[in-house]
Order: sequence, then structure tokens, then C-alpha cells
Amino acid sequence: MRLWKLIMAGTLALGILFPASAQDPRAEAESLARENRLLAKRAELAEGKDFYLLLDPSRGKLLLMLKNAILQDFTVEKLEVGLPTVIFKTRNPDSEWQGEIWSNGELDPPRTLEREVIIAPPPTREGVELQVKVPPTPEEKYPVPARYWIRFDGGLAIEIRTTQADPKVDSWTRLKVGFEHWLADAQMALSGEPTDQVRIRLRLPASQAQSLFRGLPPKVKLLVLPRTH
Amino acid sequence: MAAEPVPAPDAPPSPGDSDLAPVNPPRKKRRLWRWVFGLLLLLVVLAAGAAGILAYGTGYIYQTLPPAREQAVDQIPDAAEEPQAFLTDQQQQQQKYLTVLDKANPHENYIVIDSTQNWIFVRNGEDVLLDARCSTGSQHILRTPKKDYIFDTPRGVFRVNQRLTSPVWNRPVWDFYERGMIPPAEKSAWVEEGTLGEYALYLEDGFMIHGTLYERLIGRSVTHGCIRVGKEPLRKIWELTKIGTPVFIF
Repeated sequence: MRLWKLIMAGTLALGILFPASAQDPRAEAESLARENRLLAKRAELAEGKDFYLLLDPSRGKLLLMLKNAILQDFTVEKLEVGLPTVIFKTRNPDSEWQGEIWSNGELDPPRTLEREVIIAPPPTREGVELQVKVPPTPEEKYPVPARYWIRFDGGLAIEIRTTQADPKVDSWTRLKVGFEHWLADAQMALSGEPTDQVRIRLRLPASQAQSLFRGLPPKVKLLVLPRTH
Repeated sequence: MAAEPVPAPDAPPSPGDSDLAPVNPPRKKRRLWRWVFGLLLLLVVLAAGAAGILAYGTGYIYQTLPPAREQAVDQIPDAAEEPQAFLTDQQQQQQKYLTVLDKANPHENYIVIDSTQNWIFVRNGEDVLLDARCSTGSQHILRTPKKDYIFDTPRGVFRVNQRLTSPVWNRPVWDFYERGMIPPAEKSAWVEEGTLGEYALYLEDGFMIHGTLYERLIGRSVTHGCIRVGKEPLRKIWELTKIGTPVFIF
């Protein structure tokens, strides 16, 4: 019993005298350097003029930001990473993609903007009565596909899917669309240089997936906070 | 003496003649064809299975997020040679980045406008203090003999630089062109009262967040670039903001 107490006291004393790696400059520097690499990217985005998406897998959040201010937040219900695979052989990307800034993110299929051109009536002293046309709501104007992508320069893509199936779409159509997507994916994976070298599949609640499609600004940037362990 | 009966030429063979009975060739052939067909079917099933397996392993295979590949600090010469100096340098760098991020952060209430979906929010970081429908630019082009006017709500970051109660509208020249009018000489014709609601928050570049007489059009893209808000949300926005409040439009 006395020996046990002695061992405990000795271990405690050693712990106080040499608090392991906490004060080891190399270990601390390593940890700081890792944090700084990410902080440098975040600072770069915060100083820039572009809108950006910040994907935080640990918190299950996708944030639309500008100047370090949150403009919109989305709840990520499921996150998966897809890599092009040919007969079970995965084609890994050449470099690390987590913790890097990806630029020029655009929707696929695109959200098209159709501008109406109004020719001003010939000016008179009295003028004409202005005809007030009621335009469609954003929901009517921009139908959202069940699956869409935000593609960035350099081969990274975010695939957005909803967690709820559209009740208006029947099983046969769903099967047909699923097969078409698989065929397109297989063709892309088999191509010499796949457009999507890394694909991040996010499942969002239906209303948020629709909101992201309708509201995403053009040429958005992306930073994926890396999983470190 | 009785004579032995002679079988009729077309009578069936007696049981003793069975060895001499002719073999039925069509039955043997049929059996062979059955084997060939079975083998072919098996081959087709196997080929389809193999194709299915290969197809299943082709495309995009999804997995959970893998850990990032970290660059070891050992690969950085400074860290290996002078760890203490490297550590100090890293601490200074961290402070610099944190200052940049802190400086960029609004640290106060700010307005967010979704110009595609016609929503306005007042946020403070992750807290949403107000969300309401609004109306933004119609994105139409007004073509006049002199100039084209594009009715977009601009994207970017702005600040509230003027707050007015009972604002009057100084009609821009395009309002006259749109109505087919010659811009009048008298100054009073350029000013309109009551159309902007109770309050107006002026942003840079002459854009405003204001009220409207046409509340039924709220939620639709109908304006010439300004942001129209309903009476009640406008009152709340007025309370939650001040001069200098950042406004983010996307």
C-alpha cells in the first residue's frame, strides 16, 4: 500500500515537473503551424470581396459568408466524399483539397437570368399610365432540381441532395433519373481527366437545398475546414 | 398341320424384336439443343453479373470525410533547426490572422438581403433577429433613346449612411422616361411624398431600404434597385439598426 502511494506521488511529481508535450516547442509549433495554415486561408477570404462558402463538417454547417459575416447558414444532415472510381480502382486527387480555397463556384444546372427589355414609350407632356405587371415569385421563377452541383475551378464539386423525396415524382421517373445520373457519373469517371476530381455530397433539408440554389451568388469561393483526426 | 402365322408387313414389331428397333434421332438432337441453350443462358447470366459488378464499381464511390493529409512540421527547415524561434514566429502570425478576422467581423447587428429570393434579415453572427419578405430589383432593362437603365439591386457590402423618417422621393430621370414623360422643368414635379413609407435607410450609391404603398407586391422582384419592405418589418429594422450598420446584399 505504501509502495502504491509512493508510485502515485512520484508520477504526480513528474507530471508537474515535466508537463509532457504541452511545453515542447516542437509539438506546440506543429499544432500552431497547422492552425495558422487554416487561419491564413480564412483571413484571405475575410479580406476579399468575394462571397464564399465555409463548410464545417465537425459542426455540420455550410455557411454563406462575406467579410467574415454569416449571411446564411445551412444544416448539413449528411456529408460524403465521392472519388472517381473505375472497376473498384479509386482515382485519388493529386493534392490535398481540404483546407484549400476553391474559386469560381457556379451552379450546375445554372440558374438562368432572363432580363426583360422595356422600350420607353415616346415622351409626351402627359405621359402614359404605367402598366403594373405582377411578376412570378422566386419560387415560381426558379424551379430547383432534386440534385444539383456547385462546381469549382480545379475539379472540386459540391453535390446537393435533399433529404426528402419529392412526392410529385413517381418511382419510375426516380429510377430513370437515377440511372441517367449513374451513367453520367460512370462516363465522367472513365474519362481521361474527370471534371469532378473530388465530389462532396451534402444532404440538406429540402427547403434549405432550394434556398441555396435560388440564392447562391455567382463565382462563389469555398473553404472546407479539414478533418484532422 | 398348322402353318406358322406370317406377320403382316405393316404390323408393329413383336417384343422379341426390340434390339432391332430404330433409334429416334429427333429426341437426341433436342436433348443436345437443351444443353447448348442452358449453357448459353448461364453465360449470359454470368456476363450480366460481371458487367453489373464492374458497373457497380465504376462511377463515384462515396465514403465519409477522410482525415486531411497534414504537412509534417519536420519538413519545414526552420521548425527542425530552431523550434523556439519557429514557435515565436507562429504565435505572431496567429495573432496577425486573428486580428484580420476580428477586424472583418461586424461585431454588431447587420442587415442581410437575399436579392434573388427577396428576403431581408437582421443578424448578429449566428443569431437571426428578424426575417421578412422584401422586394428587390426587377432586373429589367429600360431602353430609352439616350441610355439603357438596368434595374438591379447591387450585390456586395454597404453601410447605412442616412436614416430618414417620412422620407420624400426625389424622382430619378428614368421614372419620367418609364412613364413616357418629358422630364419637367419645375422642381416640385421631381419630388414625391408618401411613396417611401415611414422610414428610409439610405445606402451608398443612392439605394435605399424603404416602405411601400404596394405591399401586395412584397416578395416579388419589382423595384428599380431599392429594397422595399412591409410596414411592420420596416419598423423593426429601424429599431435594430443605426447609421453605419453594415448591409450585405447577395
